[in-house]
Amino acid sequence: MIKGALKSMSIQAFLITVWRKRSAFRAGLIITAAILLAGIAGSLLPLIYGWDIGFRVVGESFQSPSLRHVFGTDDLGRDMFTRVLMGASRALVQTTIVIILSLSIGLFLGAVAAYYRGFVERALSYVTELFLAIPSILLALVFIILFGRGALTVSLALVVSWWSWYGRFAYLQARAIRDLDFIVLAKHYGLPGTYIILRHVLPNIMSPVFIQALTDAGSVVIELATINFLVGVGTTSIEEPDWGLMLGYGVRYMFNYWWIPFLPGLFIVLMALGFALIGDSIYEEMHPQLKRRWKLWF
Amino acid sequence: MVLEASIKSIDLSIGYEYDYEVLWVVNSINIFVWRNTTYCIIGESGCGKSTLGNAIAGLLPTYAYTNGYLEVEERVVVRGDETNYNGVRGRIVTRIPQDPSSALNPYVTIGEQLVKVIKHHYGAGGNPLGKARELLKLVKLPLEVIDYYPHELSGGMKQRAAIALALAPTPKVIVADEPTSSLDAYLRGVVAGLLKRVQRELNLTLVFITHDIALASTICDYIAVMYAGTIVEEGAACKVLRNPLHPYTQLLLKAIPKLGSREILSTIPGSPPSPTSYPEGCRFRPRCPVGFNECYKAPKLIEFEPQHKVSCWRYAQ
Amino acid sequence: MGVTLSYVVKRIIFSIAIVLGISIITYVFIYLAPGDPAYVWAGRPRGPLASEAIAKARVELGLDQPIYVQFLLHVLRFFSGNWGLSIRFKQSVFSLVMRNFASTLELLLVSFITSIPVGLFLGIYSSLYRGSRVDAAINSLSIVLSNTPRFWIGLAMLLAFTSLNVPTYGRISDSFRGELVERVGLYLVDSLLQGRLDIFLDVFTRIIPPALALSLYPIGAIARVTRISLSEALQEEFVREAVSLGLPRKTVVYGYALRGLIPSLVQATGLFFSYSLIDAMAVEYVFGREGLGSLLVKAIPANDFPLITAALVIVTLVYVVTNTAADIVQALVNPRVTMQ
Repeated sequence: MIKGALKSMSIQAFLITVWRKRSAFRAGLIITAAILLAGIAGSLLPLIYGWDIGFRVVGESFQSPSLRHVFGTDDLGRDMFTRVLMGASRALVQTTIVIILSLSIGLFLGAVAAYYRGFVERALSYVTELFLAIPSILLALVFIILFGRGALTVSLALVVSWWSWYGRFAYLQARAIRDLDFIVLAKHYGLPGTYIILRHVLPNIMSPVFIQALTDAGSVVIELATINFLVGVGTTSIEEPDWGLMLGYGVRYMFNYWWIPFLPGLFIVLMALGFALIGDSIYEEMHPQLKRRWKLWF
Repeated sequence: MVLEASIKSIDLSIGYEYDYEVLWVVNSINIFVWRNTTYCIIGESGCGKSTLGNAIAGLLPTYAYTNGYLEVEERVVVRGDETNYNGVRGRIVTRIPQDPSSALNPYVTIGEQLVKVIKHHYGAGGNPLGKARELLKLVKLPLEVIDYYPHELSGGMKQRAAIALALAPTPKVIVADEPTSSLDAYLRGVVAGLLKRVQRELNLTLVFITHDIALASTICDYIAVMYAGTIVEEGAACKVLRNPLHPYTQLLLKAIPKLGSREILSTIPGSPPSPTSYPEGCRFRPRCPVGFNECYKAPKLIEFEPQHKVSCWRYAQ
Repeated sequence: MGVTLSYVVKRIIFSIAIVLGISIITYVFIYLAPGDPAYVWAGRPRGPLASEAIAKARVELGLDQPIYVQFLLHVLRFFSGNWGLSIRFKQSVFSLVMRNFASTLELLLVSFITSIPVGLFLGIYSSLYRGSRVDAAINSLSIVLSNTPRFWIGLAMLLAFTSLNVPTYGRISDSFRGELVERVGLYLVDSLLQGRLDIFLDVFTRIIPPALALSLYPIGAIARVTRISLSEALQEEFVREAVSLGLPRKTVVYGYALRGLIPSLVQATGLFFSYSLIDAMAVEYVFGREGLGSLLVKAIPANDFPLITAALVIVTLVYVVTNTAADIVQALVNPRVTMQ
């Protein structure tokens, strides 16, 4: 259904039409571009000003936003703007890691489950359902407690359960195509299963799963932020320039210094929203029943 | 019998939104259907006959665009790009679907569906259940079908149930959109016969859409042959079938197998054009065995004899 | 109906298998944790009685027994509610979690009672008038709502309400705390059972802002799911057939198009409910209410992972139960029972 929509036009032409037709797509793209810019700036800052730029105490704690400190300063007197920019690059990297790893695991296991059938199919479906049932945020918290709360650990901890989401989707897609001629024939020729999966199954389930991943990239941002928020509220001090941590940690200052929790949160919202707007408009435009003209005709 | 127009169209064109363009699949059609007759629209798949049927029944999808004029039972339903079927659907025209298994509500029993329709049109007072039973009797379905869900019925029974549903609001016009295409060969004749009987008994106008000219010849009073979105020949059934004028109609008739005949069946060379690439001029030209130079201009539907029109340059004076 | 029954049985067995799988995972956690499992199980005790407690935990875990006996013991403990001791609170994790679960559940229920009808209404409206300005507004609103972290919205709401001098912080005002007799655990119900309308009003005003913050996600998500699936359903053949029979709009929309969506909507709502449980925990903390969330937040810095594991188990159980119930409802509602 989703694949068919793309057949008649190239990807560029498609994206141009979506851009022309949907203001949500334009808004989402602009927001995401802004976040990307912030992320690039955030990762360049340390190269210019030294690695401690985000942690540098300017000696003026709890300064409200001003021209000098656009986003104010936090409890230790660190410039919030610098930290928020660095948080953008961190958030982008973490989100990318989570999506790429979960997608690869999910796609592969889904394809394997659908292709091999029998015991493999049942076992993998069970494992997928099991990890779908376990709340990813709490599982990630357990892993953070066990292995520490580094940037990589948080992403990997989320991957542990997040893959199941794509896994089930990939499995359903692969199950729909596994009886088609080109796969049955390849099996007849005696080609090895791994070859058929890599060469024939995966390429054909990839695009719908990618679109699914695009539409819920926003929720990955929120999941990561929630994990870090829950970690942040309990800690006595934070080093890492992470939006979720800054927001969670800043909750204790919310009544007196609103900008400390509020501004990092705003960026979480923007990033999640940007992804969601892009994903949603592409989904609608690829959906034959949603893209065509509609009026209440009865 | 008073002869009056049941359906009348003037230069009716219908198109669909396709990849951000409008693709016109039905082009400038003029039809005129008398009341209480059976009017067959014949054509290959993709020639726009179902679209025309949907326009009459008020079931064009929302991404369809219209142009021209269409009138059903003296109600203007299409004028330009505006359509208005309020009070027409159900009361005046209903449709018998192509595939009854997807057209019947899968969550409700046949009886409930019938009662719902009857109740809406005649109120709860008029013994809707009794009327539902009568309808089932009319289409020769056993009465216990009333408590069955659609998925519990066979294909032929589903189609009969769909016919009963279409008759429930007592319409004046029924559009049967390839009602036999999902049935076995034996059932096709039976269902077509049933429709013809119902049309006579209830004094209906029946628009019968099919690709099967042999089946159409058994029941229809008037025939319109459609090709690539246009009507190429139209007229009283006896005249069109005995004396086909358009080469396409002639080829269609030659392709009917006759029992006992040892003649080799002819086929029409080539395949019907898609709406994205209709040929210039006469649309049948690339496949026409007798085409000539004039055919690069579009022909008009002209009256060859009373009650017999054709759209071909060979008959132009 | 015979087929449906066998489906229900199958579905329940599968859910039990999932719960068993979770018990295996929690078993793995105990051994993944750094240090002696018995030490962790006993809640990292200190002081003179520590060695005694560790020895007791060792017996309880069956560490001197072969591995399958250990595992069997673990499963038995898991199903009898013995989930270890909290490191932070030095209490049985199970009773701790159960005591606080009611508060979170109360918040969640209140937010869903409001968000289901609102979400449905928005979704139906925007799908019927898809492409109109109102639809564009509803759709963008629901995208924004379902992609904003709820704890952040909660924060903004708390600040707004506090500046308006509306008491919203906490679950119940301190003066009423001593007077309320807990029976069910849901304060809204308890106060009514006691016949104290003033307590009820106090609890009610305090639950509204967090419930509102919490309901934004389900409202947006339900509206979106309804909009997309109803838009598809409205173009189904049997809906067009209903239109062709001249049935009125209400019947076509509610009796035909929406009717077939009930199972999938129930299922989706069940999913959103279990997702929201974690949101509830975060929002609850922001609003200073006791409950699972506040417990969890205190547990994280203390590395109290028996407690976090217990929270994980609870949320998973809620997921499994709501999901199973939704699937069974789906099987019962749909006459064409789909079985696999």
